[in-house]
Amino acid sequence: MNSSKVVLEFKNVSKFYDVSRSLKEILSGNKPQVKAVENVSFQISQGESVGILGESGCGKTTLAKLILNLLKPNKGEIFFEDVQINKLSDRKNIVAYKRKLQFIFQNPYDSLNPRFTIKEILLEPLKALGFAKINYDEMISNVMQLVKLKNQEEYLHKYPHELSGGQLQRIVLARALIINPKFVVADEPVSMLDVSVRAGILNAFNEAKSKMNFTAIYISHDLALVKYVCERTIVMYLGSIVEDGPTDEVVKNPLHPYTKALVMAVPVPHVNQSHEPLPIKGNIPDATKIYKGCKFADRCPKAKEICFNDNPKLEAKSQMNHRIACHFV
Amino acid sequence: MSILEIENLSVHYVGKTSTVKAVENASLKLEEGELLGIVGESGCGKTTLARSIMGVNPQAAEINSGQIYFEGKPLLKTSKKDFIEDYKWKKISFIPQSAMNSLDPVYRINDQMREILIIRGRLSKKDADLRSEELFNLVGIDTKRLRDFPHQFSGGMKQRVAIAMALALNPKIIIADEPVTALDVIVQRQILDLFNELREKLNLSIILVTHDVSVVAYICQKVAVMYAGEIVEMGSVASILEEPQHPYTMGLNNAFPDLQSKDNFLVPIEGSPPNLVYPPSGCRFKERCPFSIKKCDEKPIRSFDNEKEVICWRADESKELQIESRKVLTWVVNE
Repeated sequence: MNSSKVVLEFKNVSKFYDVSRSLKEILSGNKPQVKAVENVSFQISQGESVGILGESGCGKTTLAKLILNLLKPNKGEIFFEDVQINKLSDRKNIVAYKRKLQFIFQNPYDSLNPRFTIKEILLEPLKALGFAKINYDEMISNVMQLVKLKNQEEYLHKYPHELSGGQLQRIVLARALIINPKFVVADEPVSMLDVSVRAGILNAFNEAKSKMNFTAIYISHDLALVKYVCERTIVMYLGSIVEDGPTDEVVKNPLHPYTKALVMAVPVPHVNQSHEPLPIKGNIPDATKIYKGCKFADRCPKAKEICFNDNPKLEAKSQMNHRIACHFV
Repeated sequence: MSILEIENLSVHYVGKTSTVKAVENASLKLEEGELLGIVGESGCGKTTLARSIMGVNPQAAEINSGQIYFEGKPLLKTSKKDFIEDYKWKKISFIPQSAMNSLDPVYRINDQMREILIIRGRLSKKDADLRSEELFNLVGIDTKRLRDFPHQFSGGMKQRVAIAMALALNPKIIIADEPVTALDVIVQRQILDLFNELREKLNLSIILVTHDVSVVAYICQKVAVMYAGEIVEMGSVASILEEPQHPYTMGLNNAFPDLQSKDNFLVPIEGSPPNLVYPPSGCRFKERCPFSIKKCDEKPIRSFDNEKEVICWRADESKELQIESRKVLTWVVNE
């Protein structure tokens, strides 16, 4: 993308899940697979914030798990700072990798141990990743300031059930940022929260990002939120990237027919808004379906014969950093 | 005459040691063929209000005062048996929160449809099946899928099934509680369009309970904003979005991400809603309100101004407050 250093690189990565087979399929030797991520390649540079956008089942969470090395890809290679992470084997290297990378979970109510006090929760990553003990107190007080939790002492001895959803999500954010990571993956961090609280979390995230200059991946199904947090957006459909470009471009001038429908479908808080029917047919098909051509062809209003037979490559069409996978752009 | 009228309804959840005042003095009117939205955060009482209309609140809920009128007839005075016999499904039907999970997983869809149509609608089995097909056509599902089990449907399809069931006995009012919350945007849009289409075709009146202002902006004509158990502001969608008079509505408009605007900076409303066991005296929003004055310790009076109502002492100054409310600094809490 831009000239700064590439932090994360996916090279033709695929991840397939086996699904349980019917008797007929077992007898005929068929092995249906869900192609959660198929042949995905991209690069993310230092300091970028990238939104991964897609509907449920498009493979965005699988992608996050691949980055975190929680899943091994079936095919392809994943590089983090020029180290191939899916080949990391000894514990020392894995810990070194995890010291650079942190994750923010979707549901703050489920992702904090109810029997730990907030202080214990925040100490956990420091202990697990072997940080020097002398710095603990300072690191905690810094990170609590960063996520805008005032009256620290009051919070540190409480248990998760004593805090509200918004406060909990700030703790989740603090736990991720306390080790000063280089790379943060956030999976729908505000989808469980109320609107009036959401804005606070997003602002804290943005502020922390500009202060600490980490690289961020923000996974969401909500284009409006992605636009608020990320400068670049990757749109996924059924395990493949269909469009990848600067967020403003993707929102203002979506080129892939799927992205167009997605942008149109987002309701806006205005009285005057388009009620035009969406340029998209049907529903998301069965995930085990095998495609020869473009995965979106069945639902695409523009599809011609070539779309059903030939899978379009993800290519830059108009500008260097705006890539689209479609024959007709 | 309005098709549904709620008058000063208060609903309390009575526990052994404490009472949660979930809904206080809520009044609203629903006209025929109108789509009314109720918006608010979690815990503001929007679901309790919607459920009270259907009489399906949990046992601990007590309707403390107020009355609900359906075409002028007081519903809370009818016995439970009569209500179920005469109104439920036939006049008013309800699509519960996460309707997708409210289908019985071990019965085929057509068996579940028959249940309503035969027991409540007193149709024969044959007529019930015909009606089921008609309903599936209406909500846009292939009639072949009537014999499928719920797990064979996707989320959006299950929502359509739930809508079809709600329409089974030709009700006049549908109350939908968060009907699109768990759905993807494209499916959400399709379901909202379906609601609108049905409203026009069948002259339905719909109450849509949601936390999403954008959904209301897309589909509703009128909207009631709830905060801490009270309807703080009610009026046409345009007036709520463009000329909000209550500070909470102003704050809510600021906190919403807007895809189309260029310079959106989201501003949170600091603090959290009050505990409804001990609601604050006076205005319930005063602790989070940047414009609160001394008078806010007294209970504000509801003011009406052609079709618009608001409960705030400073509603007359709303023009100036709107300008203030757009500034980020207004909402920053100084300690």
